[in-house]
Amino acid sequence: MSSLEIKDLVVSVEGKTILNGIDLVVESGSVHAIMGPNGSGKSTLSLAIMGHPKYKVERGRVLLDGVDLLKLPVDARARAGVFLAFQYPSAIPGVSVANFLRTAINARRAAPSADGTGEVKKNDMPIPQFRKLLAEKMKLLGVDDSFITRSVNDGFSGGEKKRLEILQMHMFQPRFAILDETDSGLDIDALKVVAEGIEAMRSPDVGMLLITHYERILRYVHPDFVHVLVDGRVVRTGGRELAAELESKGYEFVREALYAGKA
Amino acid sequence: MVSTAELVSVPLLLDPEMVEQHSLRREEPEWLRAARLEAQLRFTPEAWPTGEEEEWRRFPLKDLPEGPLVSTLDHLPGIQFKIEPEATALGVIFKGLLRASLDNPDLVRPYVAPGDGMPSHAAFRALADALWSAGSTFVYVPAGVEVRQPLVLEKVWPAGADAMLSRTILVAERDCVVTLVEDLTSEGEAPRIAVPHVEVHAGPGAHVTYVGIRRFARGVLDFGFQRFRSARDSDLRSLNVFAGEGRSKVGIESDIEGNGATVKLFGLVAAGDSQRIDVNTLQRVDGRASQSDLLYLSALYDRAKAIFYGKIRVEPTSHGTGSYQECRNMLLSPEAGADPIPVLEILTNDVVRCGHGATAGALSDEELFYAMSRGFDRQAAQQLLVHGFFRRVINELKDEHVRQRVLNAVRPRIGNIAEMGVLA
Repeated sequence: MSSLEIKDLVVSVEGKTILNGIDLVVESGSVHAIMGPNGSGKSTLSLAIMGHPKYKVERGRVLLDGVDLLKLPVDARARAGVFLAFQYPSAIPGVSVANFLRTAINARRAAPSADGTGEVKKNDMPIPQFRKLLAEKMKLLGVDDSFITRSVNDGFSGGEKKRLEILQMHMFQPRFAILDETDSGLDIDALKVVAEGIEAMRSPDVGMLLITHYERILRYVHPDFVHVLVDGRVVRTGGRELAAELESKGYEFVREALYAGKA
Repeated sequence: MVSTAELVSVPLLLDPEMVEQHSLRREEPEWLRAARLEAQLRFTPEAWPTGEEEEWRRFPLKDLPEGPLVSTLDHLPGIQFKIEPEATALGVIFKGLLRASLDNPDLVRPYVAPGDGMPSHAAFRALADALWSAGSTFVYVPAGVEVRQPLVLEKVWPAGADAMLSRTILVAERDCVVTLVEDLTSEGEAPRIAVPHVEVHAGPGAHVTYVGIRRFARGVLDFGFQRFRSARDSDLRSLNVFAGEGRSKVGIESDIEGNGATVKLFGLVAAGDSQRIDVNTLQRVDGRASQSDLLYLSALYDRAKAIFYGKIRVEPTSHGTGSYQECRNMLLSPEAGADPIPVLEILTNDVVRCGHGATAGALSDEELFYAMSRGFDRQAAQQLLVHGFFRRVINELKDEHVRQRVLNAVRPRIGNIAEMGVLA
């Protein structure tokens, strides 16, 4: 059993405090949804955990099985088992999806040698194994061969970008996945495929943090917990029914309750 | 005409006696000697850059290497002219320029006279044409012949201080197909001058690809010049790869001389240390519905600097042509720099398109973060992005072996993180 523990996390961007002390524990095997209105700090939370240089951690810790991720460089966080599905994935022109996936997998498998020389010991995934894994995951996400020969996110539609994020998640097999508004910008068919891809990732060994604006995706991906983020704080936590309540009453209801001291 | 009083003194001495002796020692035919002497006459004080020319303002001509201009090296060791037997049977000629001058004088003679070209490089062109030596090449492809395998020349100049002056003449007759790859390397660290002078004649309907890879050593000062002449309906592509450790001040001229010709000029610069790669281009566009496009990409490390001064000249006699010039520079160190300067001279209203785009900047933080979030360390992420950046040009090469050769050349600078090849 693994856990991702966020403790009293305070994060600012360009001098402005966005997260005001987040506390959250995600155990492996569970799916947590984080919902909140625009500007509540949802994306800041995901990018700060991953280590985006623009987001400054003022206070707090993010522990992955006791190891403080915030002390590690971005790539080490990824290799420790954290995956972020981006809301706005970057394009890497000239690098095919297949090459990107393969080089990334090999970068993740490489280990610093034990002799302290700083050299990296390679442990590349054999090509046949890679091909088999890729074929299996492509089938799961309904993408064809032309998809993997294209450059990463270059000229991709919104739906294709999100599919590629989910494909990467499946290929890398992280211990914790943060999905930042993976449902945004998707039509209903694409949403279903992406949601099925997320559901297929569910296992006792994987914890997920599903960040979303709408309740829509939660019809397909069933969270164990729903947290409501407002003004950089988790203001309510509940089960799936909380998502439905938000959908019907809107975020204003939580905000009003919060500032009336009732939340 | 500039008066001699205003001229800078020419630091290189080139007299007719040197040229004649060079030719006599090599036992060249009389007509070849005459062509050399004619070139010598063009090496005038007026031809030598003053430093005031737009092309030369950013490349001070000082501390020129002092090694001998005349090289007694007649053949590069190990050079091999490999060609498919079928092509030879069809009359394709691929050999050293002196050998071709002796064997096929009627074919070589019309092309060996010193050619015209950008005035900015006149002096260096004259130098190469007067004193060319080892590494000079002649390629002739008869009309209608398709040379399937690229003609590849690995030219390695042994260590020394003598100038590396060479000529490459490629004559592609009507409707033929040919690819020539020249991979230029030099050994040793001594300061020396290089002037590889390349002339490509693409006949009507010919499909010609020229790839020039420069991997000169640290002490080399490269004043190369290239001229591409395109007849009607021809398709010409060139790629220049600057992957060595020396300094370059290179002139590249493309002249479209007929209707419906297509020209694509590509360039890759992978430079580091305190290298300076300065490229001047001239795309002359003429004829009806001709197209001329240029794309130069630089990855600059350490204190390297890339200067690009490129001109498109759309001739008054042209109709409905299209041309573009694009120069992108990736700065991989805060001390690296780039200076892309585009110039458009459009001398007619009858133009379909003509434009330019130039950028210079660091890698995007967002792209780096994205790659690193997948497990690449900073260095690997940077390599991946540079590799992808260069792929835009490398993917234009049809032949996989030529692609690999280009990747091999740039690998010492950009790394090999994304060279899988097996999957895509």
